[in-house]
Amino acid sequence: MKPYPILLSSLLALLLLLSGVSLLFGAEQISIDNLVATLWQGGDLDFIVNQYRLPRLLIAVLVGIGLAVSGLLTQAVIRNPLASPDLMGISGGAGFAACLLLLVWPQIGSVWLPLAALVGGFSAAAIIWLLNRWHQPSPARLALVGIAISAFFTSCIDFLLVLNPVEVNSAMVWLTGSLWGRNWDYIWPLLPWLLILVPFSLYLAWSLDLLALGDESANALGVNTERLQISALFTAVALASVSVAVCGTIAFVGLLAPHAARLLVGFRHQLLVPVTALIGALLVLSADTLARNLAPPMELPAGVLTATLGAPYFIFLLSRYKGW
Amino acid sequence: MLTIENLTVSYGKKPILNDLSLTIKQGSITALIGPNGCGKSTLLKSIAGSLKPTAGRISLAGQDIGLLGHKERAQRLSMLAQSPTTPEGITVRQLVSFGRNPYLSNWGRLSQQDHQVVDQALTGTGLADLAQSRLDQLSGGQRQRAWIAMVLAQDTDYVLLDEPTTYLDLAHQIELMRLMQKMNQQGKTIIVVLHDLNQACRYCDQLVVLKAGEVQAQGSSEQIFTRELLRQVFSFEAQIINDPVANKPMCIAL
Repeated sequence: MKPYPILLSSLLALLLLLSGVSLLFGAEQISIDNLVATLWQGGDLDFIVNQYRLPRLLIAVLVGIGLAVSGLLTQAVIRNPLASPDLMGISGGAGFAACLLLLVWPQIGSVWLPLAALVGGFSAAAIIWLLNRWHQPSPARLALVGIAISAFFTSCIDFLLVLNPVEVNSAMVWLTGSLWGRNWDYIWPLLPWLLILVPFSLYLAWSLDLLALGDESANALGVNTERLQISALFTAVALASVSVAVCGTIAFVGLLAPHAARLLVGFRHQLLVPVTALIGALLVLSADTLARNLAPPMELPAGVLTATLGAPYFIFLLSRYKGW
Repeated sequence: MLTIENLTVSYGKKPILNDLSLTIKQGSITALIGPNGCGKSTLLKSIAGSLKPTAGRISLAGQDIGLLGHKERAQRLSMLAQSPTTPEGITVRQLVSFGRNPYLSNWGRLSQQDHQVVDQALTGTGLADLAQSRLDQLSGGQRQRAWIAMVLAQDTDYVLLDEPTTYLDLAHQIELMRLMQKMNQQGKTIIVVLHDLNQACRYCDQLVVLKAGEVQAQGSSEQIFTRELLRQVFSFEAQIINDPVANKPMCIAL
């Protein structure tokens, strides 16, 4: 068998294994027999397994896929190793909009969260575009603008929280990137977006390979570079926004997963999209599983754990990058 | 025949090319020469379609290339950019197969015939043995030949080369000029931006001399390559002698 199918099946196997672990462990430990029985037939443990851990597991996987593929597309278009939706402030914009909706209209259905987040994410993207339209932004400049935008949205969110102290608790947990209390209601608004956007990313993959040669060469090879860049960025912003809508900003997944995938399979995006997606799913799922099991029944937000891994890597990238 | 009529191209408000008209015969090698900032690269990029003209029209055999689709245009015109980026880990063969893009669907799957064209391009540039090597591990000369092979795989009648010799040592520059002549003998019309005036005289059928976005002179080197031209356009004094090997004019700075 060729190396790529082996890699893909190993990653899938790892994800299945981790899913098993994530279903078994938590505030209450479940035996394998009981788990299998409950998954098939329900019973006493039905709530813990089928209504609590299982949807949460699926959301972790979906959000991981969304954030990771979003990072891959962003890096491909901007050709900047530091580009990712959270570092550029797109997650911040999406988070602010979703938070605003939660606080202003707490009873609203979860279907509306992704839509609010999309509006926020695209607004942040528009701000970045406006601030950078006069120059081809250098990686450092883009990172700085992103940090400024992130800081701006964080302070907007703080302002909202100060104004609405009663609702703060759930919004606070959500903002740090937690999957706490996420049930089936949160899967249905997320799933259709991913089912459209991830295959579309695969469709763009070959052209993104050509784009890596530079705009001029890609254009001469018959790629409509303008259209490609816009479609890939729209897809990236949408993926990040709907993911953030479900569980807040789980930091650095969009930066780490594509880098790790490139180390494993090289530059070809048709191979990168599936591997990046699986690595993203693994990252978020392992972070959430750890977050639930470090000090049960207390929970850490998964975003704190991904940041512990991601922040040092970001600093490593900054120190290695000589392009400024 | 490639015809450029009243072409104006601007970056922002500043015009780089100003009402430029030019005709390029099929089957020729044309050198675009001129001092830095005269608009040579801009002209090449406009022909390749990566810069949109503000006014004017570029046509191939009477057909406006601005009206062609991206892939349609890329089936007729190919270009080697001045400093393309090398994706990390790409092999020579993978790079050359990118040249087939204008004939492929968006999934990029190459047919048997596409693979044959890629093989021919590799053989034609002497890279058949290096096909599986990584591009970033090749020498500068080999790497440039790989980029040329990509352009060959694109199988177009017109080939544009933007300063293809810039980062090469002299031996590899000569190798590249000969490769260019070979492509020309196989029927390709070539437009090349060159800095070395003597190479332009020796290896090209026609010179197009640009200054400040306008054509100063056009013709064979025997007709137009004079002391006055060098003084006016390039601002240096030179003596023109006859190159004893190729029997073409060459200049020596005074």
